[in-house]
Amino acid sequence: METAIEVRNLRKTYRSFSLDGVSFTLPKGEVLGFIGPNGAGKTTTIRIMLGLARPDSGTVSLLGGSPSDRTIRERIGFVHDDTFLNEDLTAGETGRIVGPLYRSWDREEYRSRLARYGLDEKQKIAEFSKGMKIKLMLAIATSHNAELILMDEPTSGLDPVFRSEFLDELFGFMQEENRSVFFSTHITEDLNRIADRVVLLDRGRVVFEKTKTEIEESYRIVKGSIQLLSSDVLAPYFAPAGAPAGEHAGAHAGTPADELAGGAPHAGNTTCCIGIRRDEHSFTALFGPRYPEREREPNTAGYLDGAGAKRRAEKSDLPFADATGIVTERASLDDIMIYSTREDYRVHAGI
Amino acid sequence: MYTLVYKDVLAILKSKATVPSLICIGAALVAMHGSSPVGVFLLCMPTYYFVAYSGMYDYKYAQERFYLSLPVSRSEWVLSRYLSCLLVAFATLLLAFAAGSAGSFLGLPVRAPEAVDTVLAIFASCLTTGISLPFQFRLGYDKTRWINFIVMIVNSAAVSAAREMMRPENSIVTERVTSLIMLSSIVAIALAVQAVSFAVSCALFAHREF
Repeated sequence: METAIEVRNLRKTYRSFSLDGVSFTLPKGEVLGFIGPNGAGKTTTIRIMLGLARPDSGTVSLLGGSPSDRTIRERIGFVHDDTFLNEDLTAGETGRIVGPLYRSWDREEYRSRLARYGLDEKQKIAEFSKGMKIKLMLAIATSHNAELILMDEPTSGLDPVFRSEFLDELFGFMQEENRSVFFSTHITEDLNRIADRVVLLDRGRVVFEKTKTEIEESYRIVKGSIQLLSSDVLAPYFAPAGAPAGEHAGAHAGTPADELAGGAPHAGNTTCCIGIRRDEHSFTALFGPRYPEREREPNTAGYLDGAGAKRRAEKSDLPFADATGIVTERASLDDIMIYSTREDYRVHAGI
Repeated sequence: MYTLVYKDVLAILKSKATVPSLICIGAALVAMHGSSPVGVFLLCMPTYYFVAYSGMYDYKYAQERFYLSLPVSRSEWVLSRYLSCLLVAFATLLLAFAAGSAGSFLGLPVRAPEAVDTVLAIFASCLTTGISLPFQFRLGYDKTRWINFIVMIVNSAAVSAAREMMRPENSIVTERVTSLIMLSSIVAIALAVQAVSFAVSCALFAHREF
């Protein structure tokens, strides 16, 4: 498999934050969504990928070469979260400055993109709206036949119409073979349309790296009345991760809970309850694959099991409400990000 | 490379620094009429403005972050700034010479810069960039604004001292060295300052993170 991006064991320590062994891969021809809450380390990772910061350890390979290699940079475009363009200049002047830096700069392509995006070449960038500035960045990023585009939260602060237009443009960019996009965002809605795979980052660590299909298949939201949490109906969902096989099966054999779970959980299950939100009347929980990294963290030592949820959800037509009042539905990327990263939603021992 | 120089010059032409720079050039021509070192000092002001404003633009629009993501090496970025500064210094002298000559021709109380003034102005401009830029490349514009005051003090002292040494009545100079050797020495010092400053800037900028 040819890779557009290969990041291995990236570490970078700041006074109040650190990237802790970040690794992921983007195969050529795919779109990778890089998601995580604010402060997760997305921008730091991108800065290292662009050579703007140096890692303490770890490696980054872009299009098979080093990010500092000029010939590699010629083949990369990027769109930052802010425009970083001198706003006293016009779009035309900016093109005249940036263009000669690329051997493969296509001036006509740049001009036609500006026209298509409704950007006046002679207008000062300061007079552009935020969406127009991002489009200008996209025009710069895509006017030199780039094979890889790196984007750092380009759609944050844009209205849905602009975001939709922006994603259409990316779609167009991806039509040519072997073009790849790395899309960092916390607006996961955007990724539903274009991402082939997703990496979730939290507190400087990769929580998971999965294809979108894997995500759709392996995560479920389970909702129900709060009373169910205090009864043993949901007990099989929350069996301790390290519990010996059969212990809980024995405890709940023949109960409605056992039936609900589609079989009692057991040690070695790969599905668990990842996070749960409770209020006075109801609860909502995310079930999905274990995060092995998390189990090493002391505060999540009690990561709890819930194998039945997945099996049950797979059998059901979603969303599904059963006799006990429990509803199971497919989890969105938003759900997954929120329940996987919010400290107060995390499942701890003792639930 | 030239495109980065073009970027800097274009930015400065569109900035508010153009007006005070032109005023300084005009004032320098008047001051030179009285053979004052103030004239020379004023001639290096456009370079000073350029250093300050280009740093400010980089800071305001995070230009390093943008351009260093493009196929631009860090040493190219540093070199382009030094070349831009030199370009501004020479353009200032050219403009001063043209305006001064025209003014003299019209009988105005102005004087175009002579060889000594020109060399001293280049020396002062080189000192300005030589001291300011390494700090800017290491710490960024925002943390180094105070450096500009030091540069001004150093500059005025250096220009005055050099001007004094160039006076014919200065026996130490006239006995031991000719004016030509003196001028050559000043040019050599200016170039050495630039070379050392450039090397230091490259080394410092290589480790900076954005």
